[in-house]
Amino acid sequence: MKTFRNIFLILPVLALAGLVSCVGEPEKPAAPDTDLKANITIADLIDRFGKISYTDLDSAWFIEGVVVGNDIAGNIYKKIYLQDKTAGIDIEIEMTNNHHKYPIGQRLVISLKGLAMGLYGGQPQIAGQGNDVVQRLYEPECDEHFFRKGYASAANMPQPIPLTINDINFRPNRYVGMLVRIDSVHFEDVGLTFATAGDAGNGSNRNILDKNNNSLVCRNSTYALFANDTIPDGYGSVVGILGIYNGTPQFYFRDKNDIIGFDESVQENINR
Amino acid sequence: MKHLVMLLSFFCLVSFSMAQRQISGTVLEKSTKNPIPNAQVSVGSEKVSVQQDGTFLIGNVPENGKVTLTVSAPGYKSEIINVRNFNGEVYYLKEAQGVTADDLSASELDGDEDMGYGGQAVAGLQTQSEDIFDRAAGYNLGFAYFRARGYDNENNTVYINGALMNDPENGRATWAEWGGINDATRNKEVVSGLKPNGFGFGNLGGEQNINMRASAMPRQHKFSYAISNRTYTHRLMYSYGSGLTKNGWAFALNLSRRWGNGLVDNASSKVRVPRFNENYDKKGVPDGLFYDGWGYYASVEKRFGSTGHALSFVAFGSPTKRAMQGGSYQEVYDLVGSNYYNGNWGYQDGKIRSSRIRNTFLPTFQLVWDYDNPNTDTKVNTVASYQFGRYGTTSLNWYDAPDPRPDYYRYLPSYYEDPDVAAMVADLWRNDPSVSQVDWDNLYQVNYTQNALGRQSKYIMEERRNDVNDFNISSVLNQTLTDHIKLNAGLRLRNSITKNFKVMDDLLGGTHWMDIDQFAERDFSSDADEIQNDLDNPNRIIKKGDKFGYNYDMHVLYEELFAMGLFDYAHWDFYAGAEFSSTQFWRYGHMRNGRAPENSKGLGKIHSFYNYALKAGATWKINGRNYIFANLLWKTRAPYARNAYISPRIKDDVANLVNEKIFSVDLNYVLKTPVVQGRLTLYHTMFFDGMEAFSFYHDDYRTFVNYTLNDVDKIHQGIELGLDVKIIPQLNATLIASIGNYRYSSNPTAIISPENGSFEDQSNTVYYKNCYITGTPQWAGSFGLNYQAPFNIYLNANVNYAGHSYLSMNPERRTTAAIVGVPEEDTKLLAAILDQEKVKGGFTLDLSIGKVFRMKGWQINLNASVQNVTNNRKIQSGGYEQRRFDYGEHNVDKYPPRYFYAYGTTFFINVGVRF
Repeated sequence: MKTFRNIFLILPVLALAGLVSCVGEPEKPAAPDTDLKANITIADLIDRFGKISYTDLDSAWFIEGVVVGNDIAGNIYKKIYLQDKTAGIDIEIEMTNNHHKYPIGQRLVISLKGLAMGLYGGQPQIAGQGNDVVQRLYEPECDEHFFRKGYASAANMPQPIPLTINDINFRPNRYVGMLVRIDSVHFEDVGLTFATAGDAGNGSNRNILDKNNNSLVCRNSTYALFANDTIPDGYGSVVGILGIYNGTPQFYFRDKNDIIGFDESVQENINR
Repeated sequence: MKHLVMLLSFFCLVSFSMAQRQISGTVLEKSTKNPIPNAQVSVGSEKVSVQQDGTFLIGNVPENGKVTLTVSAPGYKSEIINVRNFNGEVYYLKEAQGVTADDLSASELDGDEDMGYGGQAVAGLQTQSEDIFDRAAGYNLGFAYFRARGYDNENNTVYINGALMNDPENGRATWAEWGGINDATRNKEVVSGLKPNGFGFGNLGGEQNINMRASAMPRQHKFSYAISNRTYTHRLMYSYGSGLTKNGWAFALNLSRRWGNGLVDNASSKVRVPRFNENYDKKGVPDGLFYDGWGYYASVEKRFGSTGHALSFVAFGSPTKRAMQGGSYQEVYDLVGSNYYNGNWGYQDGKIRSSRIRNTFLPTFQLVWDYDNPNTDTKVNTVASYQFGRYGTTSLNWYDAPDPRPDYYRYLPSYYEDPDVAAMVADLWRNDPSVSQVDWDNLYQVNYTQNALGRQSKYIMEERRNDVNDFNISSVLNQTLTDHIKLNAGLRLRNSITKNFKVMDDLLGGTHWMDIDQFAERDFSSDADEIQNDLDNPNRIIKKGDKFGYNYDMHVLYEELFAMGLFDYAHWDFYAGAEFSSTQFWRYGHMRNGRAPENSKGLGKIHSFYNYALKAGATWKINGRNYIFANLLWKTRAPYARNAYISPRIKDDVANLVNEKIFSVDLNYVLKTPVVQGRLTLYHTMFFDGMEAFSFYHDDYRTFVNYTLNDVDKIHQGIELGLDVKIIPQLNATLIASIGNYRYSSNPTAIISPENGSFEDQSNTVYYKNCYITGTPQWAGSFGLNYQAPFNIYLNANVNYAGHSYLSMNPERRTTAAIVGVPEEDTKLLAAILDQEKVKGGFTLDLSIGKVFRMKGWQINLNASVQNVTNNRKIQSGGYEQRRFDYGEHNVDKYPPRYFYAYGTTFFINVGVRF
């Protein structure tokens, strides 16, 4: 009899314990992952295949890096920039709004077999195979060749490489495709908009100057969200992707937050 | 079985042979002094039915203290009495007043069962229970689609005269199958939760056995008429019971018709130009509904005198046609100014026509053989039941044409980026019913144009059918073995076929339709085999009444054997039992589908499952007023055929089929005094390896997609309280509360299968762990006052609450794929995608009044009830996230959820005359 009574006393305790036990928060879906690993650095890849205008990549090469630039504000168009510890590379994608799929901070492994490398105006590119010229990759091809490692996160992001305009002009190819930062510069075209509709190639060149009047071209798309904003006065810092076109270095802002500290622009501090 | 009984006997050889008290007496109707055929008397958990002459005997009454006796009968007001004379006392029952929940037809939402959103309320399920909680929950919490303990419908079993009535394919009990014959279905024995019962092994949420034998119908003629503004306007009903004649015959009849559309005048189109702000809001119930339901029931019973044998023949059915309510987006509700917008209907030649009509008729025939031998205390109930008929729901379908549903997202202002266009569309929505409702005239015009070109209809109405053909036979024995030991045992066999197919309901002015899959046509060339729904009859021309699209039978064979020993002693009662069952199901295809030519026609693979269940429980009878009891259940359950197939309309492939495992325990305290009665229950239930299945149109894949979830684990835990306090003899107060915590406890695996065969079946992990179970309030309660006023007037007021109910989830939104591309730091967007949305709960107030007039053997009952008196129209009774997701841009507002709102003020007035 006592046993029964004990069971009765134990049961409510168990039931109450049960009630408390199930109060967790839902899990976040597991991060995407891949077993694939890089077997070549981006710098080596460019060194090996990126020196001529077109190369089919028919061997099982893999690179791994973090998306440092995309079309988040429409200034970069149909491409993303992938950077590892050694270098950065421009990947050509036939996709607008690719920032939803490949956000900045996304770590990717790219399986290069079946893709191609090309050189456009001196800028090494990864894209699809074509007839002696690379083709932008369509979304299904991206799905086939790009493998996500984890979710996009600011924690994945490399620090922008601090450079001066002189550094860039001195060795432009060294930093092409990478995220760089230049401090203490001002805009030459204060008061103009970042881009002027109707300019050739749907883009406008706006120079930045350092205190010694060394200059660097910022290439701004007329489709950029900030195209119609007025260029601010004063000195500040810029962050962005370094490109090159026929020997001339070009600087691409990813969005307006890449323009830091100029008096007239109110800065939001958003994570990226 | 023998071993089992021995084992159980051994278990209880801890003998308690003490002197026991008994109670005997008679239960009579107060006004007529006649016996009441279905009266029951209970002490604690011990319950007996009265004999034909009204007498009863209860053994096993707790030894000590005062004893409280409950006397009840369907349709009568229960009496709770302090027993003074233990033998020979006469107890009188008075007829219950007020509207019962049976009268408030459960509202049925649009057939979104396909979407994994079970749309049927189970109000009325437990209302005849003598348990305070069950009764009040069934009656007062239906507005919020409250499900006791959060269990799905298949966890409650419904028997009629002992025959299993739950659907063989999906396990659900569909009340509409016997709707409208309320007098015939009123007599039922309801056992909630895990408590043992005399007619079945028991299900998780409870079981009930509706007694529809002719002798159960009171001896009377009864006419009643009701008027309401809920789902139907009028209900006319006649019932007759002969009572048991001297020769042992009894006859019973119940006929009814329910019709109208909730006091909305459909015919006069002049006043029906929907200026929504006025028309919709006035009613507080969805527009464009109609109801046309008949009900019949007939029974003959013959008792063969002293032999103890009786035979009954029972036939019933409810041919019902009704228009269904569709839920819509909040944008639409706000646009038309009413949360009761219903996009399922539109004007055709100025007359309202609904595109979603449920047309059901499942006639049932039963032969019941009862054997009752009081000398050996043996009862055997054997029943053969046959049910067949139609269960169909119409729907619009279209070929290479714009979506005809008015609230398709591309027709809404929010779809247009240009504010001027959006404003123009919004204006049309407010003023032009051809925009805001189905534009039937236009659909006909489009088809007429097709006719001129000699082409097929672009728009059609199809009817999707799940026709049941169910034969089942069962036999249940109740045998008293000794003073202390009773045995319940039974066996059940069931053979059923559900015929699933589509039929052409209306070509909408067109000449024909071609039986190909238009979604497959997009992915394959127009002469590919893949586009054919029936390869043996390619490009078949379909006329009205032809079957098309898919056509397969689902066969289910079910066998069950159970036994339970019940051991009653002075202070303790125990029971333990076991059930063994086997289930076989297979698909038989009548069409060779072009997407699965080798795997669609003919006999499919037979799937077999063997299951067992064990349960046990004990009651500690502290004294005649205080009881503690606990129950324990472990069972395995075969997957339901409806969930098992990955793409049943196309092919014979099944998901990873395993038995579902269920563990449940509850602990209850019951207090019974003449002044205060109550029950407090703690329960904890775990489901393992369950399955869920649904299908929907997938925007990205541009096809219908079947979604099967495997390995679904769930936990249901909570507290139930029911309390009834007699303040003065004429006034009592009731309070019920249910606080639950119902959660998923695993991350199921989804199998995604496209009907057009455009990609291979995919599998995916869905992150459901710790998400709330949806579709029922997790918190609910009700407080009521019942006043028995002078002059046979009865008044009742109830305040009800429901909350913590969640939108039915789109599993796609809880996957890795849904959030890749969202930076981890963007917690706001992550939350918007992943978090569950709680629907708005709230309070309602219900009032009812009843009055009885009696004269010379005539009795007139007048009942009126008003639900949601304060017209609270903010309560969302449920809804679901759309089953598609904007992977490209992670915009959760692109496919907004659909909501259902609880009705505003509704009334139900009933007049009954009996003689």
